[in-house]
Amino acid sequence: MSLEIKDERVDDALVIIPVGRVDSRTAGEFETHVIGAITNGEKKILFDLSELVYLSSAGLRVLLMAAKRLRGGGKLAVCSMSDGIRQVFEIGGFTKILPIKKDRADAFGTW
Amino acid sequence: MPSDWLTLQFDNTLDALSDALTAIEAHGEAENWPMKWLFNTNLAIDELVSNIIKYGYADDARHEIAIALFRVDDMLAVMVRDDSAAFDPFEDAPEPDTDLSIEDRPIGGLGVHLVKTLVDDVRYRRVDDRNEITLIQRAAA
Repeated sequence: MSLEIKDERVDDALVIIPVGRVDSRTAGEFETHVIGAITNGEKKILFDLSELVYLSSAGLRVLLMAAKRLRGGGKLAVCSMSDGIRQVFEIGGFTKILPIKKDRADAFGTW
Repeated sequence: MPSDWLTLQFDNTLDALSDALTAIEAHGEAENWPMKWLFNTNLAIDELVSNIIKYGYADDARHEIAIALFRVDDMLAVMVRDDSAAFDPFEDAPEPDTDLSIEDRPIGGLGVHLVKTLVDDVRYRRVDDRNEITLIQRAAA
């Protein structure tokens, strides 16, 4: 099992859609993709997790790096997560620091 | 009475770990494990074994990691054995503070915390120069 990463442009936001699993083996690829987007000047990033099967702490680590870099002028939100992935966010304390949205409409309607 | 078991041995590389996780998931799906077991087992083994692979060995030699999974009725036991440096992840890894803000939060350190929270019971012992981790999960009552 591996990871594929899709990007979609919605107005001035970049929607990043990881497909498959972000784990110890694929987190490096995810990090390169996400940090690369921020380095290229993306300021609004929505992570659509509807096609993500697994997320480990290695994946949370990348989201935290992105959130730190987008502080002050940028926006980051996460949407469409499965119950299992939501549990990982809750246990990691990430529901307290990242905006968690039900779906894309919810995310774009409120940020 | 549903029961099944699986044993695996693989080298200390993240690619070999990924193949092992794929095999474990295929086994669990074929045996109709609850979704919770599939997700939590995959996550727990990835967290613990990737730490062993990344930080546990002082040399560059090939090492073998062994995993055994036993399911009896509503209980699943996962055992991991390796010959890396003695390390009890459940006692020796620092507890993260999951209340910190984005600014103050350190990058990393959540893996063992996830495992301890998601799995019903965790055990560690050192036996004959090997680490032995046991994870117990029960199906939701």
